[in-house]
Amino acid sequence: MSNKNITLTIDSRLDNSRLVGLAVRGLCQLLPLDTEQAGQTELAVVEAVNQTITRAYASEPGNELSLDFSVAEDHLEIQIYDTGTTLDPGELETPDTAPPRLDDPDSWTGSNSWLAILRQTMDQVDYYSVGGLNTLVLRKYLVST
Amino acid sequence: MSQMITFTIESRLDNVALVGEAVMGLCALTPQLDSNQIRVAVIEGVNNAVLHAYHNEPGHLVQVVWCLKDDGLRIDITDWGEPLAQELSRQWPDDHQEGGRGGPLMWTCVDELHWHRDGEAKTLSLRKRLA
Repeated sequence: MSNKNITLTIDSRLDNSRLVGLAVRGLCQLLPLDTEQAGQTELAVVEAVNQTITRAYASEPGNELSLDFSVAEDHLEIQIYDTGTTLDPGELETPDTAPPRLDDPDSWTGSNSWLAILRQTMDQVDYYSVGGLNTLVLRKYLVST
Repeated sequence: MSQMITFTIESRLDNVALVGEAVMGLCALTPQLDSNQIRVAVIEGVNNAVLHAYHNEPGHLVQVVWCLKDDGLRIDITDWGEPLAQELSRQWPDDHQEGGRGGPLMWTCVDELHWHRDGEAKTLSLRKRLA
C-alpha cells in the first residue's frame, strides 16, 4: 500500500504556525492515535514550525516553509523543510536540557527546550541539510487499535 | 488581515480525506460556519479534480489554498487537468441520470462558487461569508 501524503505550505510568519497545528490536529483524526498522542503530535509540529521560523528565518516573513505529512502503515512521518540558517549539528547531539516545567517559566525558553519537547512527544527526531535544504524529521509509530 | 495555508496532494483518491480533515481542523477558527458543509464542499471539489480532471490517474497535483479574511473564507481548488465540460450546475439531475450531483451538492454547502481558468490551471473557488 502506498503512503498517504499531503504537503502543507505557509509563509514564515509565527501566526501561521497555528494554522499548521490545527490542520495537523484534523489530520490526526484519520490515524489510530488517542487524544493524548494526537495532542503530542500537534504540539511537536507547532514547536518545530515555530523553531524553524525563528531560527532558520530569524522570524522574517516572506519565506516559504513546507511540511510533508505522510502516513505509512505503521508510522506517521512529518518532514519540515526550510532553506534558511542551518542548525548546528552539535546542538542535536547535545544532551537534552530538562524538559520545560509548568511551574518554572524560565524553563520554557531554554535554548534546547524545543528539542526536549520534540523528543518527548515523538518517537524519533532527525535533522539533516543537503544543498541548502534543511529537513527536520519527526516520526511517530502507529499501533492499530 | 488574511491567514493562508496551502495543501498539495497527488491525484489519488486516498489522499482526498487528508485534505478534508486538514480543512476540518482549520474550522476551529470559524465556529460560526458549518464545518461539515465546508468539508463536504472541499472533498467534492478535490474528488472532481482527481476523477474528472485527471481521470483518476495518479501522478498529478491538486492544490488547495485555504484563505481566511475578515469578511469570509475562500478555498481555491486548482488542478492542471482536463477542464470541466460545462459549468457546475445548481440544478439536481433527474433520479435516473448518472453523475451531475457534485455541482448542486457544493452549491448547497457554500455561498459562492466560481470556476476560472488561467492557462493550464483550472481553479474552483468556494466562498463562505462570515455572518
